[in-house]
Amino acid sequence: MIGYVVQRILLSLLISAVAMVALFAMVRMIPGDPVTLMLGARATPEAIARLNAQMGLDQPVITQIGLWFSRIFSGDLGVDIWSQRPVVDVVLEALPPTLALTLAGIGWAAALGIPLGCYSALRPGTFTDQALSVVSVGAISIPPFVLAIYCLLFFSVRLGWFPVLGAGEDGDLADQIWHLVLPAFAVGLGWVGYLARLVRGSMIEAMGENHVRTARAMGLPPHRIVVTYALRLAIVPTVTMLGISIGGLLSSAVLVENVFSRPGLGTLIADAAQGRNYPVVQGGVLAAVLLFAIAMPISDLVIAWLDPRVRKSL
Amino acid sequence: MSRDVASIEGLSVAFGRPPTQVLALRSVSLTLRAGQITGIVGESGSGKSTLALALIGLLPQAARVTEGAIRIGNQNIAGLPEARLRAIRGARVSMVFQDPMTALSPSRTIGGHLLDAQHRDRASGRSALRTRAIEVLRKVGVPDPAAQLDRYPHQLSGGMRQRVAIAMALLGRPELLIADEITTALDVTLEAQILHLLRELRSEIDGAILFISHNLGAIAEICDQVAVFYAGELVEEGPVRDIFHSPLHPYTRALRDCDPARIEGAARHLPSIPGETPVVRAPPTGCIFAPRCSLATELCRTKVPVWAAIAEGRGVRCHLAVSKT
Amino acid sequence: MFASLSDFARRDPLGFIGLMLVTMILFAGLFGNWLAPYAPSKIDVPSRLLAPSWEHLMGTDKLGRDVFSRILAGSALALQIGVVTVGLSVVIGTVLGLIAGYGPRWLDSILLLIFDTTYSFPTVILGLALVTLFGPSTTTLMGLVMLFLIPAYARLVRSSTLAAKGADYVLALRSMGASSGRILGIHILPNVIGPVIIVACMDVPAIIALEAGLTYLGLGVPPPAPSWGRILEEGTGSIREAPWIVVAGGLPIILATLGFTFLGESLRDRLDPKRKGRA
Repeated sequence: MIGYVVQRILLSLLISAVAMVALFAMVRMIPGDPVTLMLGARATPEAIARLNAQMGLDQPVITQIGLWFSRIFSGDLGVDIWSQRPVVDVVLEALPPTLALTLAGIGWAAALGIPLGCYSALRPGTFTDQALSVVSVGAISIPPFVLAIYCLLFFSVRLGWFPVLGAGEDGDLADQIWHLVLPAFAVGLGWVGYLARLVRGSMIEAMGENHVRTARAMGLPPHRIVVTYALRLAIVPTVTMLGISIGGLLSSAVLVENVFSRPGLGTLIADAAQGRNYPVVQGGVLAAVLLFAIAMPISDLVIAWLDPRVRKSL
Repeated sequence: MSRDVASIEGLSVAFGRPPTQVLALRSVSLTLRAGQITGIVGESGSGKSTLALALIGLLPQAARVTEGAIRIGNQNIAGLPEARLRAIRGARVSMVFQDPMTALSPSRTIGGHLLDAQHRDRASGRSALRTRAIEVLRKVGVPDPAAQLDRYPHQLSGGMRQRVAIAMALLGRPELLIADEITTALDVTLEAQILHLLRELRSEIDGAILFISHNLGAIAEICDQVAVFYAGELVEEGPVRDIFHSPLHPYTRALRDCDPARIEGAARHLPSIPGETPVVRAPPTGCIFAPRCSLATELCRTKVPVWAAIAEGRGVRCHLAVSKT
Repeated sequence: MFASLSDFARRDPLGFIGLMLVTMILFAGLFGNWLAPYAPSKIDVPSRLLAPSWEHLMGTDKLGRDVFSRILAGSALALQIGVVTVGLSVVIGTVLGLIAGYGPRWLDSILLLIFDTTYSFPTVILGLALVTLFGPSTTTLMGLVMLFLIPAYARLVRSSTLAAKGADYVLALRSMGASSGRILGIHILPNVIGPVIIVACMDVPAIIALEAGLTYLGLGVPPPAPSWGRILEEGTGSIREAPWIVVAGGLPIILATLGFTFLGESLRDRLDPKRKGRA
């Protein structure tokens, strides 16, 4: 068990390290002179020299890589070219709204999708089950950002029920939640259908297991059988899926943030990419990779908690 | 004669609908009495397990009781709604299943299982339930019971898991304990231990034990009464001595002669009954065993034999046996 | 298979709807430019922001371009990104998967690590980084999509290859001295290609949505190409005055997704009877 966790953490560290080298290589691979590209053709030579020195571009490659890593570990990701603020601050500022959106999206999706999947699995083949499965496919089929635009149109612009822009006033939690409703709905809806289908499949399998029959033979009430005996194991594939889907989740959050002009990692990276603000792109991508690298071992640990056999066999 | 714990009266169970239906049980009557171990013996497909599931109200959705009654005490549970059946399960009737490796939830501790088995006891506190679980574990021969409570099923051997499953069944204080092929997955030594345990339990629990097996040796060792099933019918019933020493039905005789434990070392080949158990989709027109019976006559092939009660708890369904007595 | 289309429609209504939608999109993609009532990029400022009417079925945008014609033209682009890149990825992914599954262990471990890492990476974010590097273009986008799909297909082919490699008939062939190439090409490939085709069919809509999404961010297909994502992006700008633009822009993406998903599921149910009635 401990060996397994160490192995998974090492893998995450390796992924992070590879990403860091790739991000370093990114700036070196830019066709033409990155500094000129960033500052434009009319930049003064002093400004170019200053930026070159700032980014360490006047050093040999190996020194630059070393420098790059030592800077990352000391929390220095460079300086935002436009605002001249440290990239770390810019990224850390953008992180909470993105995390809130991602967690709210997947949270409501799990809270609705998992019970729906169980509900269907307990009456397979019935009209309700088939109707739910068609609705699930429909929900999966609407790309989150298209859904976000439709929501924006109908609920914000037409009906005026929800705010159109931004993430709400700082410190005003109610307002922030108010701004979160539509984006979280758009991020999560597809996941509701997806989780419902996933859980339905594994629940049907789990309900046929012998230990569920044992539980029924004890006369346990149906909800106890479903939750304690069937769902606990049936949920394992879902957790695995959630673990490796953090990437997809961040991706849809990026797009949805842009639709609602919410501040966040997505808006930050997209704007920086359009403006060729390389240090911010690097910092933002690094933050996304780290989130991803953290999510994987966490889902492994949750699985080990759910299924004690995993603890033993690994 | 001791009290009737459960009785099956003219029970027929079908799976599916015609023409693909399977008539899994046909007109079976059987009485289970307190303080007795009744053995059910038969090949796979003989309806043994369907009978067990019917008794605990766990028949699958595809199954229907087409006629007859299933009485637990004096309550007929045939056709009861799920909620009412649930009140029977684990309280008046408990069941231990065949494969101890999969019968327990891999994500729940032994203690968790044993607490769940006492879920109807809302009056006792957690520690009282725990104490009782330890007590029952000790009774079924689990060493160091307190330490086992926090362990998971995969940390126990097959024999220990089966003892835990028996303990769970006992915790509901059932009137009827069904043991469905519980020793089949175990090796010979463990089998002997579990059989010994069941014998001890017979006198301890105030109820009946239904012991289902295809192992005649095990049946002979622990049962008081034996019912022989073939292709969904009860073909012969009687006290264990009679069944083994003076079987009436040709099938019972054949079964006995095929038991490896009885075959002399010098025998050149393993005897077997020619043919195989039929899957019955429509009511038979003659004796169901006739196609495999070496003694079958024209009568056997054209007329369905009726159940002939010879004495209290002794009967047979065979034209030939009835004409002889 | 089904005797007739009406029989198909009755037995598998969802699969039939999927087939119809996909046919419609393929038709629009192939003949869209010919069918379009107006040139998709023709600017006609006097008739800007017109609501839907018989002249302009889906209205006009703020440059007076006909939205319906632009959507028809966009389907060719969507199919190019969706179907062509998915097809190429299937080919490359299958080859890599066969190598990983059939080749030496060490190669398998390395390839598997690469597959796993790239597979679960945040696609759009990786896309953003790449687009920053190479600039937005159709080629960058197609490259990015393939980077994302190839590992997924390779992983799938690898596991079915591993299963097939241990099968008795393959062991028998090897003991008779059949060459690896022959075993892979003639005996293993036909067994592993089915699942990839099904998954690929379901991926087409995801890729179409990805193209639209990146273009929406201004990082996909560069203007003036009439991508569905661009129609949405421009439509969001005039969402108050002309809501019909975003409604019309989102519709083909949703229909394409539904069509390919239903068709893919119907294919899967037919090729894999075990899964019938399951998720």
